[in-house]
Amino acid sequence: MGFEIVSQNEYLLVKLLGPCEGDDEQKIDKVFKAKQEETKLKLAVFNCSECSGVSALFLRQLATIYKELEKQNGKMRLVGANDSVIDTIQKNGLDRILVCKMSLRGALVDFGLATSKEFDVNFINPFLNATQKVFKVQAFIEARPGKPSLKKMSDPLLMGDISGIISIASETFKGTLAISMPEAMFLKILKNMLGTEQASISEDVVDLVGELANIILGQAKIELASLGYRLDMALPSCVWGKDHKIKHFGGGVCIVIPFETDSGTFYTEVMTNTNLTEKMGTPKVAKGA
Amino acid sequence: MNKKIRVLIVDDSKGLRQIIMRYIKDLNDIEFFEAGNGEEAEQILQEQALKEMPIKIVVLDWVMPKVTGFEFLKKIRSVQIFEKDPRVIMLSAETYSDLVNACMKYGVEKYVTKPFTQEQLAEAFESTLKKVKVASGF
Amino acid sequence: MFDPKTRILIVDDMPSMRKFIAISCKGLGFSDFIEGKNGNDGYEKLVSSNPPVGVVLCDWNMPECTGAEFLKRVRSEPRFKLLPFIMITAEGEKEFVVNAKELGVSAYIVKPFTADQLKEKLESVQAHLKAA
Repeated sequence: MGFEIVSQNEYLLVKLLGPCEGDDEQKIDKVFKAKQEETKLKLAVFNCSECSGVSALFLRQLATIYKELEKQNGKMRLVGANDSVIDTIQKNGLDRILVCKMSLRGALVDFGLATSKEFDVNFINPFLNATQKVFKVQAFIEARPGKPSLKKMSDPLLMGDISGIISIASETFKGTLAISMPEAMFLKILKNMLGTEQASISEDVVDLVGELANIILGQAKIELASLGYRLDMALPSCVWGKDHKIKHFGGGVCIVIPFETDSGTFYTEVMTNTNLTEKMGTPKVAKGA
Repeated sequence: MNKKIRVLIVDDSKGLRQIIMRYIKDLNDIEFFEAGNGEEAEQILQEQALKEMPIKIVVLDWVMPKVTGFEFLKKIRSVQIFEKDPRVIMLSAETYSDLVNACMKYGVEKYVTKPFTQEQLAEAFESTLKKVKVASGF
Repeated sequence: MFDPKTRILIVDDMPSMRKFIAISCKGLGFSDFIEGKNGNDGYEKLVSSNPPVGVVLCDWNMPECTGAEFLKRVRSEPRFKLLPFIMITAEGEKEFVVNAKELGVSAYIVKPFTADQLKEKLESVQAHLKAA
C-alpha cells in the first residue's frame, strides 16, 4: 500500500509513500473512513515527505476524505509536500481544499493544538541526536547529552568561548542554531580533525565550528523531514572571544542542551521567535547569519 | 435538476456586498455566496466544484487587501476546471483602458465602473445570467 | 581505486572543511590537491588545471555559485561528461540527492562522513569509470 495510517492522541497521521497513483487495492478514502469510524478522530495530517508525486485520481480520493471530514466539522492538512505535489494540487484547483503546510507544527497550529508558547519536544530530539552523531563521527568526540532547559531572556550570552551559528527558517518560525564550546574543546577538535596543534584559537581556523553547526543542522533536518517538518537553512557564521553574543531572531524561546565530554561541556542551542502565526515565504540561502 | 444559479460576491466591504446582492436579488433562482478576499473566494469555488454544485457567476471587486481581484482572476483561470467558468463581472473605479484590456484577456464577461447605479449592475448581471442559462441548457 | 597520483579538486567555502577533506584523502594515499572556494572558483581551477583534474569533491551550499550549479555547468561540456564528481554535503534530504543525481553526480556523501565512506565512494566511482 502506498500509505500508512496511525492514530495519534488528537489526530490521525497518514504517511504517504512513494508515488501515489490512487490504484491501491484498498483505496485510501475507504481505509481512512474505517479508521476514522474506529477512532472518532476528526483531525488528520497527511505526511507527504516521502511522497514523490500524486495523480489526479489520488487527489480525488483525498478530496473525498475532505468532504467526509467537513461534514463532521473536521479538518485535514498536508505537510512536507514537495513542489511537484503542490503543483499538481494547484493545477487541479484543489489548493484551498488540500491545504499544504510546510511543517507538522503549522498543521497543529491550524488545528488549535499547538500554542506559540510551547516548545515541541519532537522538534528538539533531532537536534540532540544530530549533535551526538556529528561529534562522534566527524570530530571523534563522545558527547553525553544533559537535560534540555529554557534559557532565560535575562541571560543572552553564549556559554562557550567560540560558537558556530546558522539561521534556520520554516513556515512557522525563524531562528538560529548555535553550537557553543570552550576553547580547549575547540582546540581538541581541531587536532582530531585537522591534525593541527595550537595553544589558542586563531582567526584562520574558526570556520571549523561553523561547519560543525552546518553538519548538525543538516542531520537534524533529515530526521525532522521524516516527522513532517521542512526547514531551510542559511550559510553558517562563527563568533568567538569571551563575552561574544548570539544574534537572536525575534527574541523568543531558546532551548539549551548541554553535552558532557572528556574535554569539557559544550552547548547546542535552538532559538526561535514566538510569533508562530507569522507567514513566511521560502527563504533564499543567505551569506552568514 | 437543481435550477438555482450559484453566484459568488467577492468584496472586502460587507456593506457593499449587501448592496450588490440587493441590486440583483430580484432576479429569481439565485443562491448567493460571499467572500471578503481572494483566498476565501478560492475556497468557496473549490468546495462548490467538489460538491458538483459549481459557482456560475462571480461579481468581483478589483481592489482588495492581500490579493487583488485581478490576481485572483489570473490564478483561477490558470486552473483547467475554472478556465471558462465561472463568468466574471469585475467592479472597479479604474477606467484606464490598458487595465480594462488586461482584465478582458482573463475572461471577464462585463466590466462595471464604480460608482454604479442599480440599473447598470442589474443590466450587466442580467446579460451574464442569460449567457449562463443558455450555456447550461436552461 | 584511483591512481594515487590523481589530482583532486576540493571545492567548499569553508577552509577547514577543504583541509579536512584533503587530510582524509591523504589517508587514502592521495597527495595532489587543488582547491576552490565556491562553484565559480572551482570551475576556473578545473579548466585551467595542468595536469587535468581526475576527481572533483564538492560541497553544495556555497555563496555565489552552489555545487549544484557548478555540477550542471561541468556536465554541460562534453569533455567533462564522465568526470568523476562527488558531492560532499550536509544536505541529506532525498530531494537534494535526487536533484544531484538528475544533474549527473557520480556519487553523494552526506556529512558527517568517515574515511571508510569516502574510500568506498571513490572506489565505486572509479570502478564505474573503468567500465564506461
